[in-house]
Amino acid sequence: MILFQNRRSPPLRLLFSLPLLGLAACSGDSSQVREVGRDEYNTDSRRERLLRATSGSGTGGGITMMGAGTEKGQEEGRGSGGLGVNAFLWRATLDTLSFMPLASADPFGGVIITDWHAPGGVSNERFKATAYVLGRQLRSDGVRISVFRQVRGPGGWVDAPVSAATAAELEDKVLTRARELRSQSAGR
Amino acid sequence: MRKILLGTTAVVSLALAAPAAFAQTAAPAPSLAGAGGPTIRLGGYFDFSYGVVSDSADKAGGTGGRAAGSQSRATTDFRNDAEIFLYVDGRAANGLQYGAVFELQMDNMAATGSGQGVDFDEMYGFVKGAWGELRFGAEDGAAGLMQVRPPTVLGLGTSADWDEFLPAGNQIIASFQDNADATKIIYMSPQFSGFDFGFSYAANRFEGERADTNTSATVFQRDNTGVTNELTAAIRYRGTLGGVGVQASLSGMSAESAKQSAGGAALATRERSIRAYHAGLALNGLMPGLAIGIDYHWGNYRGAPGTTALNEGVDGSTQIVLGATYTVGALAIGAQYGNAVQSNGGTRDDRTQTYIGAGLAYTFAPGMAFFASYNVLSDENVPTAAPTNAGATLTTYGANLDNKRDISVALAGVRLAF
Repeated sequence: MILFQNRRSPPLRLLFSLPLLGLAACSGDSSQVREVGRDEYNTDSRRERLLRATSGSGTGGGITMMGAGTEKGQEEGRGSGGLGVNAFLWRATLDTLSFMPLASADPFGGVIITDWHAPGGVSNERFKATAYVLGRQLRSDGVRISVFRQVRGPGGWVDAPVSAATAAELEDKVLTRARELRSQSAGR
Repeated sequence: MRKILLGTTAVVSLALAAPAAFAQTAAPAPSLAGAGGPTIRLGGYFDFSYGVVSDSADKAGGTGGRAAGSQSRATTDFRNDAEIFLYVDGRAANGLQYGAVFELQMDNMAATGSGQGVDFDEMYGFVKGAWGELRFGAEDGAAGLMQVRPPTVLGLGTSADWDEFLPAGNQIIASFQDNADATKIIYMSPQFSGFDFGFSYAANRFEGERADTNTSATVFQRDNTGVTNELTAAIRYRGTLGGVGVQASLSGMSAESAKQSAGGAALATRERSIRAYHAGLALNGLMPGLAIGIDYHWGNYRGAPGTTALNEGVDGSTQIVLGATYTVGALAIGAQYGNAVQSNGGTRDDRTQTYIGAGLAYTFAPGMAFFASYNVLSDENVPTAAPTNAGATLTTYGANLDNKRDISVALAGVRLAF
C-alpha cells in the first residue's frame, strides 16, 4: 500500500505531519488540555444543527430509555438504574454510614437503617442511625439522618440523648461525599 | 453532657474516616447500579418543508437523455424528512468513556416505493479518554468532522435542505463529509491550547461485508471497484483573539483510484489518485450577532471534494465558499456564495458551478424552528461522462439546447428536534 505516491501533491505529506507538530508544540502545557465534546465537531446531522442553533448543544437532550438520564441528569444523578432517589446522595449515604453494620436499605424509598454499633474500645455505649434520601434532586436538604444512642445500665441497654450536632455533621459528610461523586462523574 | 459529646464525636470521627476505606470494598448493589451501566437516549428530528423549483433541465428539449415529448416535473412539492437517533453512553470504572451512536434516517431516499424507507446514516462505536477519542464504524472522516466551514442558517447553504428537491448528483459544491460514511476508524485528539487534530482511515468506500462474492469467477469482491485506502487528516484551532472568536482548519484526504470496473474486470488505465485539501476560517463577534467565514477546497478530484478520481491528463479542481450570518434574538439571517471550477479536459471550457443563497431561521422554542431560503444554482459545461484528456462531451439544457443549467429553489419549512 503506497499512500503518498503522487509526486504532484507534496502538500499532503506536510499536512499529515502538521498534527504531530501541533501536538509536540502544545504538549508541555497540560493545563490547556481538555476533552473535546461530541457536539464540537462538524456535522451533517439536521437534528444536531437545529439543536446547536436553538439550544446550544447538539448531542444532549433526547429521551432517556435506560440509565442515568440526560447528560445534565447524569451529573445530577437523577433516576439512575432503578433508584427512586438521587444516586449521588444514595451512594454517599451508604459510604458515610458504612462504618456501621447495615440492617436494611430501600433504594426506592431512600431509607437506610443501620444496626447497633459500638465504637471501638467502648462497651457500654452503642449507636444506630436511620438515613432518609428525600428525592431525586441533588440538594443540600436532600438527606436527613437520625442518630440513636443507648447506654448499658444495670437493667440492660437504655435510650440516651444524642447531640443534635451529630446528625447534622453526618449529613454534612454525606453532602461532601455526594459532591465528590458528582465531580468524579462529570463529563459522562 | 461531656460524656454524650465524647461518644457522639467518636461516631462522627468514624464516619469521616469511613469513605476512603469503604471505597476499597464492594458497595451494596443499589449503589453500584446507580453509578454504572450505560445510558441509552433516544433523540431525533422531524422536518416538513415546501419547495418551489425552477430548473432549465425540466424545460422542453430537456437534457440529452430525455425522451422527446416527455413532461416537465412538477415545480412544487411538500417533503418529509426524519431521523431517529440512539445514543449509548457509558463510563468504565477506570474513567474510560465508551458507547455507540446509531442514526436511522428516513429522508425520502429512494425514487421508488413510499420514499420513507429506513436505513442507517452514521452508526459507530467509540471509546474516549484523556488521550482523545477513537471512533469505529460508519461515520464521517476526520477531515469532514473537523473542517471549519462558513456559517449558515437552517435550510441555507451550498449543500442544504433545498437540494433535496433536485435529482441527486447535481451539486459539486460540497464538503468532505458529504461522501464519507464508509466504515472506518477515526482518531481525534484532545484540545491543546485551542488546537486539536485527527486522522481517519477507510479501506474502501463501502460497508464491510455487503458484497463478498469471492466464489464468483466473473464478479470479484468489490473492494477494488471503488477508491481504496482513504486517509484523511485535519488540524483545527478554536479560540478567541482580541475579543473575536476564531476557528480555522487545514485538512486533506488521500485515496487510491479503482483498480477494477464495476463488473470486476481489471482497468487497463487507472484514474489518478485522489488528493484533496481544504482550508477554512470563520470569525464571530466582529460585531454583536455577526459571523463570517470562508473556505477553499482544491486538489485532484472530480465532483464533490474528494469524491471521485480524475482521468490522466485532466487538471485538478477548486472550490470557494463565502458565508455570513447575523443573529438578533430568535431570528437568524444568512447568505452564502459558492463557486467551483473543474476541468473538462482537452480544450473544453471548464465546468463552472455557482451558488448564491439567502435565508432566515426563526426559533420558536429550543429544538423547534421555522426556516426559509431562496437558492440559485447555475451550472455551465456539465460533462456527460468523466472527462478525459481528449475533452468531454457537454450536456445541453432547455429549449435552446445550451450548455448552461439554471436552477432556483424557494424553500420554507419547520423542523422539530428532540
